[in-house]
Amino acid sequence: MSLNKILVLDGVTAVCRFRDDGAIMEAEGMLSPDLMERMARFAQWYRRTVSSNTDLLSLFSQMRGWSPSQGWIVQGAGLTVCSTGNVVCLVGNAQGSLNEIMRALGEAAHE
Amino acid sequence: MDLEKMMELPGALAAFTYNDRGDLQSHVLREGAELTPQVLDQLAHSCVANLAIASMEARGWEALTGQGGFQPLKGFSIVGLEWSVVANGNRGVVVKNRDADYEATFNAVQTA
Amino acid sequence: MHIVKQLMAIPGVIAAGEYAYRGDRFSYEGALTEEFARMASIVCRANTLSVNMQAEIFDSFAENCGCRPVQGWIVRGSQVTVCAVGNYFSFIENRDELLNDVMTIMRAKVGDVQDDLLASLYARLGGDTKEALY
Repeated sequence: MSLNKILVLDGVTAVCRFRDDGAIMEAEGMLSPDLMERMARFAQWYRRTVSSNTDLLSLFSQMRGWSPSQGWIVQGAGLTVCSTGNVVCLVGNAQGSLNEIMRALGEAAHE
Repeated sequence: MDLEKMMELPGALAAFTYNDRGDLQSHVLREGAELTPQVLDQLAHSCVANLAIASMEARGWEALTGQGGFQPLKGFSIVGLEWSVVANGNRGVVVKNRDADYEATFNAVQTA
Repeated sequence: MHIVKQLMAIPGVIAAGEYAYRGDRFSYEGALTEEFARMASIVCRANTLSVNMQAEIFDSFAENCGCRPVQGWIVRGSQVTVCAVGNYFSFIENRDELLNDVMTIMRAKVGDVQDDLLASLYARLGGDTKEALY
């Protein structure tokens, strides 16, 4: 899926697909190259961190269904960053529908 | 132990306190140390996060394995290239690795 | 002497081993079961990732501030302490002077962990950080 299909969703201001070493594979949206790179590196770290914390939760709770982790969301006062797999996007809270965005991210991440 | 006393620990570069959210509340910096209050504030937030994660791990480990000895937690340390930060509760100390006495530093950050 | 053997020779060291960043590969000696060692490996992985991420964030605020590359971490429990340096871990009793001795040995034997510990840990398992996962 072209990342533009995510960019057109309400509230999404930037989206990128990143590699496992944090390098950007493709990016769309209104974010400077420097900030896009920072977002990609942040997302790469967060994916790893969430993945290992999910493993911990799975281990300690002995519940099925946590691992493997699919993604994460960090909701700020006005902006939200959300990611599934190796795709991350920046969303303005006023307009975005997280359900729709996470669904679209899920499709994009598995392509 | 107050901040001035913590600065007497071997290798101490900085001593600081923070609230439960990680906001820096007070600090002492060794003159010449390449640390700023901004970095200490970042460190304080990471201390809160790390102590919370370590507590979760200690609780989970003891519950699952039946092995005791971890709780209550007495602190967490990140060992960097040149310095380490040692923290427990609401206080932390940054020590130069070359001179660090981890045991004394962990003892120093226990709440009175 | 291999680092794990050297650590296990010290009174008060409960267990020591090596953990893998990716996958569940690990090795250990001491008073852990296979399952506990696997769990320890997962815990070590999580904490190592976490502190590496934090160091990168610190670095963006204050370059060369002395934290990166992260060498390890310590969790101090009430009677037991876990130390991790590079991809080695140890569980030790809280005896006098033991933590300092163990940290000195671990840091000396492991040497300075170079930047991108994670890439080197991947490489040990035949992984490739440049490979697209999706």
